[in-house]
Amino acid sequence: METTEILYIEDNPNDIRLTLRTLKKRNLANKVFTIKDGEKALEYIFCTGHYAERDKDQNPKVIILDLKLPKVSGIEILKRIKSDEHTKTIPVVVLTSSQEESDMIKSYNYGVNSYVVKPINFDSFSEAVSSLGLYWLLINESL
Amino acid sequence: MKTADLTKEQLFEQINDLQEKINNLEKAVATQSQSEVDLGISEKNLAVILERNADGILIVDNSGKVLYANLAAENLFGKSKADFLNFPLGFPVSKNKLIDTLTIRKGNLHIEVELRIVKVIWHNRPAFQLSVRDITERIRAKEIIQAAQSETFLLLEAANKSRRDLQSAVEDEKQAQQEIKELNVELEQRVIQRTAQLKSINKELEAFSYSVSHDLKAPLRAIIGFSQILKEDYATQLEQEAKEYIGLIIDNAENMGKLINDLLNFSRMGRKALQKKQVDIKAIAERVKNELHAGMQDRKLTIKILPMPLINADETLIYQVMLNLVSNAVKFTAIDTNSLVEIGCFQQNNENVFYVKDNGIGFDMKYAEEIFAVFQRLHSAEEFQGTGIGLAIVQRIIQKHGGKIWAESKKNKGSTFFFKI
Repeated sequence: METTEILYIEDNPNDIRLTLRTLKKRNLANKVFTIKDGEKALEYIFCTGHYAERDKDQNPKVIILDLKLPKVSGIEILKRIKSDEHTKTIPVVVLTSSQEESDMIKSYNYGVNSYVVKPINFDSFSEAVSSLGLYWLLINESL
Repeated sequence: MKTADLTKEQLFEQINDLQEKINNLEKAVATQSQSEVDLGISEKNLAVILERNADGILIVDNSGKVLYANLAAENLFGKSKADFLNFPLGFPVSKNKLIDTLTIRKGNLHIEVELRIVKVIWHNRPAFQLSVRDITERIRAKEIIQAAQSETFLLLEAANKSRRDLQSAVEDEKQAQQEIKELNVELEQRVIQRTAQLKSINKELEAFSYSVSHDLKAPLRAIIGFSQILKEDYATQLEQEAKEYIGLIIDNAENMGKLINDLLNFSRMGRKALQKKQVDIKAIAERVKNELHAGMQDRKLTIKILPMPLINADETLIYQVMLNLVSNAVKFTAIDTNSLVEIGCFQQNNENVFYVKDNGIGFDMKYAEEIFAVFQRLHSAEEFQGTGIGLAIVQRIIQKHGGKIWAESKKNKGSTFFFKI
């Protein structure tokens, strides 16, 4: 398995397709690993359950996180990532439909690196996805 | 005890006693003769006392003939001594009653008198002495006192009644206060209940709008996204008409997205607390003007901003009001005409009234109220695009500030929107 650079946690298959297409256009698609529920996402991040075999030292370079997920919510995942010494330096970008202030405030309180509201318009959406993907990858590589 | 048994000493004692008695008798005789002298003097004195007595005094013999009348009696009856003496009294006197009353007519006057009758010896003959006292004043005084008493009684009665009334009023008030207390408790209970209900409704609404914002937009994004991909990736395989249909799908989905966003804003407006501070409404108008100019370089647009005072309001919301009103003003001006918008303020009844005035197509005044309702449109979407929520949001913002918004217009003569905060 190629090294995961972008961990994409999203349950909406349409959004996944649109996002992956955008990333593919930017030649980033092969570095993306997609997980569709909150519980599995936690297992992946902390190398437990289904992903117990995963190399703990190979953290993704950026995590793109939806907030509304089955089983474990995006906010909970964010909280767990940012409160663990081993994972708290991974940049987390929340990519969500929610414009609710409370979601935004919670995310920033837990230490989110970016909060992006999914635009309805496709061009804006592609722009947002590709720029945030590229931005955090580049930032992380320079670290 | 027999005399023969008496001792000599006892006899002496008796003689002494007898001697003393004789002495006393002699003394008494001496005093008697002195008394007779004194009596002569006192009889003269008595006659004077009788004559000057304040009460009228009449001496009448057994047959009712007047033997004596003093000065007061003359005055009382309005007769001289000569009129009295040796004439009958002129009114009956009951010999059995010691005290009697009598009314004497003296001209027009009625004099009430009290008679006291005593048996006397007058010049060694039995007679009656009548003391006559004028009690008219006394009776009048008594009447006055009685009247005063009954008046006092009435006053006391009235006072009692007022006291009872007061008491019952106090009791009524107590009861009313008790009722008010109970009602207040009930009211508070109801407020608590209602608040709880409202809170739960509000929570539901929040959940609803959250889900609207999240779930309703996701399919739209998919529709728009995949349509766009079709257009981009299969452009060569699609006929012109197919591309046009795809374009329409995208436009409609995007419109629906805008609608959802507007509705969300509208519902959020009701829930969010105002963050008031000093707001420079003129600066906000300038900001709106610059933004609109940037977005409509193809339009002939003149926005005139007059001086306006600072207001205490929520800046973000006032910006939305201004943006909505000015965009409306521009929107409802025919494309080919020079769009003139004026933003200003005037004083009315000591209040600042702000206005946004345009030279657009205007509207019929019979719809002046309805234009603020949600989804109310006066024009077809084809003529003028929009979601029909803008003015509803504006009105809600103004009302949240405790203000008022209204509009005046004439068809094809432009509209003016006024608001005060």
